[in-house]
Amino acid sequence: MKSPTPIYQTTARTDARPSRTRLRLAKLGKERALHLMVLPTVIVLILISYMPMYGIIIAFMDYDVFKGYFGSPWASHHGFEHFYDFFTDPAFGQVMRNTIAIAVLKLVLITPLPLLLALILNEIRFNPFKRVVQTATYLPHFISWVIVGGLIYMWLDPELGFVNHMLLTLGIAADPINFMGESKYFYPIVLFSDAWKDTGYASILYLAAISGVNPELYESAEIDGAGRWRKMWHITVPQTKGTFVVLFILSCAAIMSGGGSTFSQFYILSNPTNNETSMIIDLYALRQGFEYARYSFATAIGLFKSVLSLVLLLSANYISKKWADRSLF
Amino acid sequence: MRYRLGPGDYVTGGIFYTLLIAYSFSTLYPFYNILVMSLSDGSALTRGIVYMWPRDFSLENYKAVFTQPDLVNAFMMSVLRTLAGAALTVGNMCLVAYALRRKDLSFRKGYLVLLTIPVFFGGGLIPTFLNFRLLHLYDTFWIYILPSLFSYFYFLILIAFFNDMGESLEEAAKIDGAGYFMILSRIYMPLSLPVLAAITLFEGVNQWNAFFDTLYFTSSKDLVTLQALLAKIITSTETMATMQFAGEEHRKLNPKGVQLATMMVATLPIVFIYPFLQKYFVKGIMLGAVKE
Repeated sequence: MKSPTPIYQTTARTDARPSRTRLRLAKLGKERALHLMVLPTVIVLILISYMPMYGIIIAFMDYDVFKGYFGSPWASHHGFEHFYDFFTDPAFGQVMRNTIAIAVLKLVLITPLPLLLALILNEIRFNPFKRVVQTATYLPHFISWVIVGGLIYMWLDPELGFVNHMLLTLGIAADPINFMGESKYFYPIVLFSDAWKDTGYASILYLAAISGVNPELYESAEIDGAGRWRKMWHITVPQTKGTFVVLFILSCAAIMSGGGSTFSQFYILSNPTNNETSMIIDLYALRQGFEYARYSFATAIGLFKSVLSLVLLLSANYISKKWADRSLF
Repeated sequence: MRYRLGPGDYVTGGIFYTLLIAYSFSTLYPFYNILVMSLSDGSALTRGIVYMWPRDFSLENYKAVFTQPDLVNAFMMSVLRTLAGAALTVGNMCLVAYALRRKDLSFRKGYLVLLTIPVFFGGGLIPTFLNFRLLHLYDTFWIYILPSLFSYFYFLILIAFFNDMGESLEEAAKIDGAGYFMILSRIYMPLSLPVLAAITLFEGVNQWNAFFDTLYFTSSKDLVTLQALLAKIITSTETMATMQFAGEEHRKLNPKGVQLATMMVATLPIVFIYPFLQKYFVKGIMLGAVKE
């Protein structure tokens, strides 16, 4: 005998409504084109970005190319042998000092420059001039450091370069100076060339932020008698503080991690004679890994640097959250 | 009282104009300088400094560049990777950005996490190198293409732009029976030309300027690019390398002159294309950035 149908069950039975899995599968079916679109990226990322992440494990091994990941023995000191080697390496102090010094110098001296450029450009009313300046100053960003480095070598050359030529004819120097051959000139060269190359381009974002400021603010300030500097200090700067802070955090991480531009720049400009100031952590790892085939050692250095950059990024983010109310995450 | 322009304003205005003119000049002059130096006779370069005009005008450096097989090959390879890389990257970015733009896609969160992690964390140089060897990608043309197929930067810009275009276009197309691929290629892409142009320019420049991957992830001469060739010459400390640069038949040429001509060839494409696309990329960045 069938159990009595409860009185509240008035609609058809549940298997007339598709199950949740059915629905989800049907949705996936409709979306299949979209998933297909994402597929190449997923494959590429797994192959190119995720697989090497596993390879980090060799930092804790005595990696042998012939034995591979699974055959190589673990390094001593519970796998931390290479880290100890790095910290006790005589070059460690020099490498860390160079890396930190250039990072700090760039952060303090270089990152404000695009903001200054944007502020100055903002004061120009004559648009054609503005556009010409922008076109000209954005250009060096798109030229590779290979070319720029080559130019620098040429201009600073003791015999053929015009810098020495000018110094001699103007009587400022008695003998030609081998700029690229001495460690003490390296940082000024790096800073100047970096400012020259990227300031224009970096100012785009600031200009975008400045153009987003409500013009009525300027209007009312002008009516109250505010001049150019007052307007800049009391309106422009506060309104763009958010953008500056975010970009500053990003620069922190980028510079410390020897981000693309710094690495390429140092790769080209450093040579055996200015090593004392030009050997930064990435270059050191590069040489150790590729010239001395110390794979595990180089990987350990890279891992150390990654962790350091991550810590720096998170700290910068935290500090800016506390002070400026803005953060990246 | 309303603010009126005073003499102080004209002074600062003048200072600003001067500074900007000086900075602009400093960014343009160096390239002019390479041009006139490379158009000078090689021996003339050693005799004195060239500032404004070529000294002993001569095309010998350029002749060397275009007849030296190594240099010609490097140039071709640079062109190839720039065109292929830029096209494939932009194409792939359109696919991904369009697919992931709708919040109602299944597994969307998962995809986004997958895409975001590599931005902050990576294997490092040696593991990447070993990985390329493992995948048999070492010393192949694909090494120039695959790593740059996806870029988080382009992803953010494109997705912001696609979402700005609104839903109505897509709904209307779907009602007419269009599939996703058709909607993307016939509607979204044509309407996003400024942003696509910006991304193509950026990626093209990145591909053209790349040298590190050639130096460390390839070994055969066929894959050498222009920038890598220059990088090798500039960082090499032996004079023998620079001597060989100009080639056997051109031993009487000043290798520096040939180097300059090569640098010019490596820079010209960018200098030419750049002003035309500049307005596109500025617009593209502003569109993407202001949305943040």
